[in-house]
Amino acid sequence: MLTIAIFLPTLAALVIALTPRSRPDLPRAIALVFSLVVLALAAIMFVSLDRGFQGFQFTNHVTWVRTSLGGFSFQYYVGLDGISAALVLLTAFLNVVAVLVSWGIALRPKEYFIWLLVIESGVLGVFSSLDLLLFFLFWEVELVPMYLLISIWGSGRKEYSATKFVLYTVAGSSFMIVGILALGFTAHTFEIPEIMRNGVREAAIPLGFIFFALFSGFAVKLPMFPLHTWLPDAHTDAPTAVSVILAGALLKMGGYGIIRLCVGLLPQTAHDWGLAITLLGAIGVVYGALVTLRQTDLKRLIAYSSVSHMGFVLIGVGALGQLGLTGATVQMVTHGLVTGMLFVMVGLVYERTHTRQIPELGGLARQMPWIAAAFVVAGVASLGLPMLAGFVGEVVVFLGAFSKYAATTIVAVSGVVLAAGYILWMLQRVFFGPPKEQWAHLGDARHWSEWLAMGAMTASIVAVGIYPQWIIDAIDHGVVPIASRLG
Amino acid sequence: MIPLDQVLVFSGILFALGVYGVLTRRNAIAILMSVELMLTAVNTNFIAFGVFHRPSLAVGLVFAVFVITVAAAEVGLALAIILRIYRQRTTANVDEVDILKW
Amino acid sequence: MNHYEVLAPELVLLGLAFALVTLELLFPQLRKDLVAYLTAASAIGVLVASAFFANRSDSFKDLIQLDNYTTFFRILFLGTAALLAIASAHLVRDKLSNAGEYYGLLLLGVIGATYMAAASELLTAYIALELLNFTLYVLVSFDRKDPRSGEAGLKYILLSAFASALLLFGISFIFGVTGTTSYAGIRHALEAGIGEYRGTLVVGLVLLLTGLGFKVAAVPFHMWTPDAYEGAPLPVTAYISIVAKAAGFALFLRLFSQAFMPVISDWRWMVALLAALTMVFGNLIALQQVNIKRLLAYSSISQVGYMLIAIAALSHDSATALLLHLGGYAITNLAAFIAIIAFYNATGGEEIRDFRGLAERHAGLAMTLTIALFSLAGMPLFAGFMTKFILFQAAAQHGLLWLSAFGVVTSMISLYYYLMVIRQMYVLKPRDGDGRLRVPLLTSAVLVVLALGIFFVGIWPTPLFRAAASATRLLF
Repeated sequence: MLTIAIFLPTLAALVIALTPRSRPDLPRAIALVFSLVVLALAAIMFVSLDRGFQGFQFTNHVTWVRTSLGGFSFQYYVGLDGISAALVLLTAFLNVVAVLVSWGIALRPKEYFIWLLVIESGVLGVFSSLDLLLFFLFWEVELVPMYLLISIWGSGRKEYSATKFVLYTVAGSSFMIVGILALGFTAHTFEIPEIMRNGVREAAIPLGFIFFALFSGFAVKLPMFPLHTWLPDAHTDAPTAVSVILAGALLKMGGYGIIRLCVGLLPQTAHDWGLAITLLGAIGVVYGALVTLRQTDLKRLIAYSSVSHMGFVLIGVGALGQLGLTGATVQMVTHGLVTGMLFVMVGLVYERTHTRQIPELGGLARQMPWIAAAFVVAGVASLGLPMLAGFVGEVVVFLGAFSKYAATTIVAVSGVVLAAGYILWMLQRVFFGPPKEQWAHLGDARHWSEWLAMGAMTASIVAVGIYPQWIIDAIDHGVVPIASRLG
Repeated sequence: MIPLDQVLVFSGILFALGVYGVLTRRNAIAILMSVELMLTAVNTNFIAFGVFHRPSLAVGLVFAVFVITVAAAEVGLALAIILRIYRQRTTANVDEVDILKW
Repeated sequence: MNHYEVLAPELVLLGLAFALVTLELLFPQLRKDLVAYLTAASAIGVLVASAFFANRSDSFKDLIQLDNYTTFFRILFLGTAALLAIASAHLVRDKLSNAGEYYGLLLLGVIGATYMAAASELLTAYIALELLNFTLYVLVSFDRKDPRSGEAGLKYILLSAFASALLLFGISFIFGVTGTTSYAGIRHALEAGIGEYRGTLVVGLVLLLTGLGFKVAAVPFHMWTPDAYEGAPLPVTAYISIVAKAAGFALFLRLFSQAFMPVISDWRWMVALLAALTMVFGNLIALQQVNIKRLLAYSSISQVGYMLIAIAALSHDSATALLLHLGGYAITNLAAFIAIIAFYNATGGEEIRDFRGLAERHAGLAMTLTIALFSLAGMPLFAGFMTKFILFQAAAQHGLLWLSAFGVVTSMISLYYYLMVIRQMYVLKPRDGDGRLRVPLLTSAVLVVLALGIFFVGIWPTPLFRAAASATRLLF
C-alpha cells in the first residue's frame, strides 16, 4: 500500500502526459483525483498504524540491483513509523491543497501538474525510505521539477531564485551523499533499521565528520540560519502552490533527515553537538523573527517567519529527549499546515490585488470578509494561540528543551513574542484600517476550489489545535525508539 | 662498444631538444620536425636497449622499424593538412591559425 | 592451435571499409545517405555476429588477446559507429563530400579501437592506437569548406604526434627495464624485482602516463580536446568523445592491470592526482562555455576524471565499474550528440543560446537532450548516476574515499552548466520567427531507443554489470 501511495503520483504524471493538448482542463482533474486517492491511502495507513508494535510497518523490501562489490546492493526498502506516517499524511494533504489552489493555472498546465505530482512522489519517498541510498535517490527527485516550477511559473526574479535554490540544494546534497557513503561503509550496510539496531562503531572515518556532512545537507534544506538565504527568494518568486509544497513538505525533509539520520543513527555524536544545535536553533528563531518584522512583501514575511519557526525544530532536536523530538516533529507538522495555509491565503489575496506589498494593501476585510477571517485564523495559529495548531508544537518543544537548556529556551521564547508582533501588525495593515479606493471592486472567495482549500486548511488547523493527541500519539510511536538510544 | 648509459644520455638530449622545439616553435612544419627528433630519440633508445638485453631477439629493432614507418605516415598526413590550411590562409604558423581558441 | 575464426569480425570490417570506398568510386552518383545506412547495417551485422564470440577466448603469441574484454569493447564500438553512421546520413549528404571515404574511415577506426582493447603487447597496442588516430585526423579535418575543421585537424595531429612521442619514449624505458614488451612479460619481470632500475621505471611510467593522458584528454594534457571537438564535423566529435575515449581507456585498463599491477604503489598517486585535476578543471572550465560542442568537450574531460578514479583504485571491482560507466557514458553521449546533430541539421546552430525555447519547437528533441544531460550530470534514475555511483563506491572500498568525495562534489558542480542548457530549452521562449523543427523518422526512433537505454541502465544496470564483470574477470 505504501509503495502504491508513493508511485501513484508518478502514474498520474504519466497519465497527464498522455492527455491531448486540446483539453487543458483534464490535467488538473486527473491531478486532483489522484492526489485525493493518495490522501486516502495516507490516512488509512496513518490510522491503521499499529501503535503497540515497535518498528517500521507497511514495509516493502526488494533487492533492486545487486552487484558483486563487497555485498553492496541497491535496495528498494520502504516502511513507516509514526514520524514518517504523520509526515506522509501531511504531504498528501498539502498536495491536494496545492492542486486546488493551482486550479486557475493557464500557462502550460500539463507540464505544471506533471512536475507537481513528481515532487509529491519524491517527497513521499523520502519520508518512507528505509535505505540510505534510496533516501538519497528520492531526495534528489524534487530538485529539477522545483527549478522548472519556480523558473517557468514564478514571478519577479524567478530565474535568479530558482537557480539559487538549485545551487544551495545541490551543495547540500553533495555533502549529504558523501556523509551517506561514509556512513554506509562504516556501518557495512545502508539499511536504516539495521544501523539503528547495531549502532555504528568508530572506524577509519570519524563519526563527527559523517554527522557534520549529513547535518549540513539537511540544514540547508531546513533551512538553518545562516544557510537560509535561498528560502525567502524561492518563496517570494514561486507560484502559490509551489510555496505551499515548499514550506509544507520540502522543508520538512530537512527536519526529518536530521531526526532520522543524524540523531537516529548517530546518537552519541548527536549528544556531543546537542548544545550547538540548540544554539543555532535559537539564533534562527530570534534572527528570523527580527528580520520578519522588517518585511513589506507578504510572501517574504511568511518565508522569514518559516526560518524562525524551523528554528524551533532545531531547538527540539538539540534537547535530545523524547519530549524534544516529539515537539520538533509536531512543530514540523503544524508548521506545514499553518504556513501552508498562510501561503494559500496570500495567494488568494494576490490573485485579487496583484500586489503583495503590505503598504499598498489595506482595509481588505470589507471586500473579502471570508478570506480575511481565514487569514486571521492562519495568522493567529502561526503566532501560537492556544487551541490552534501552532501552539501545540511550540509548547512541546519548550517543555522538552527547558529542562536541558533553560537560558537558550527563554531566549527562544522571545521569538514567540516577536511573532505575535509581526503577525498582528501584518494582519492589521492588510485587512483592517481605512479601506483604499483602488480595492473597492474586489470580491470574496468565489470558486469552489478556493472554498475547499480554505476550508480544509482551517479544519485541519483547528483539529490539530483542539485535539493534538491523535497526532502526538503517532509521532511518539516513532520517537520512542530513537529517544531510547539517546540514553 | 659504447656503454649503454652514454647512449641513453644522447637520446635524452635529443628528446629534450625535440620537446623544446615543440613547445617553442610556432611554425607547424618546425613542430613536426621537432616531433621527428623526439621519435629519433625513441628509436635510439629502443635499439640500444634491444642490443643490450637480448640481441638475438631483435624486439627493439622491430619496434624501431615500426616507429619509423608509422612516423612517416604521420608526417604525410600532417603535411597534407598543413598544405590545405596554407592554401586557405597562406600561413603555416599555428598561432595565426586561431579561429578556435587554443 | 589457434582459432583463427575469432579474428573474423575485424577482417570482415576491413573488407567492408574498402568495399564502401570502392562503391563510391564505382557509382559516384549513388545516394549518399544510402551509403550511411549500408554502413550502419554492416556494422550491426558484424556486431550481431561477434556476439556469438562471447566467452570464446584466444591469445595470439601474446600479441593480441581476443576474450570477453575485447568482445565487450567491440560491441560498444560497433554499436556506436552504427548509430553515428545513421546520424551522419543527412549531415554528410548536405555538407561533406566523399561519403564513401567518410564511412570507410569510420569502420577502420573501429578496427583500431578494438585492437587497442585486444592488444596485449606494447607495439601492437601502439599500432592499433595510431590506426585509430590516423582515421581521426582525417575525419576531424573532413569538412573542406569549414576552415575550423582544418585548423582542428592540424592542432589535433600536432599534439597527438607529440603525445605519441612521449608515450613511445616511456615505452622504450619500460622495455629497457624489463627487456620485453608483452604485458605478461612485463608483469613477470616486475614481480621478479627490478632492483636499482626503479627510478628508470618511474620515469618511464611518468612519460607513459603523460602520453596516455594526452590520448584520453586528462587535465593538464587536454588542450587539444575543445578545439578538435569544436572544429570537427558533429558526428566526428561524437565519435572522438565515445570511441576514441573508450578505446583509450580499454588500452589503459588492460595495460595497467595486466602489466603494471605489481608496482601499483608507484603510479597510483599519479593517476589519482590526474583524476582530481581533471575533475576539478574539467568541470570549472565547462561552466563558462557558450558553444555546445565545447561544453560537451569539457564535460567529457570531466568524465575522464571519473574514469581515472577507477584506474587509480585498480581492482576487479573498479575495472568492472569502469566498463559499466563507459557503457552508460556511450549511450548517454550518443543520445546527447544525436539530438544535437538533429538540431544542427534543422537549424544550423551550435551555440547554447540557439537552443532557446527548444521545448516548444520540438518537445521530443528537448526531452531527449534533457535526459542525456541529466544523465551526464549524474542525476538519480538516469544511467549516469548509477554507473558513477558504482564507480565511486568501488573506489571508496579500495581506500580512495577522498577521491570519490571529489567526484561527488564536482559532479554536483557539473549539474549547473547542464542546467543552463536546459534553462535555454525550457524556461526561455523561442525567438520570433523560430518555427517548429522537423526531425527525420529514423533519427527520432534512434533517440527514443537511446533515451530508454539511459533509463534502463539507470534503473536496472544488472545485465550490463554482469557483462562488464565477465569482461574484466580475465584481467586480474
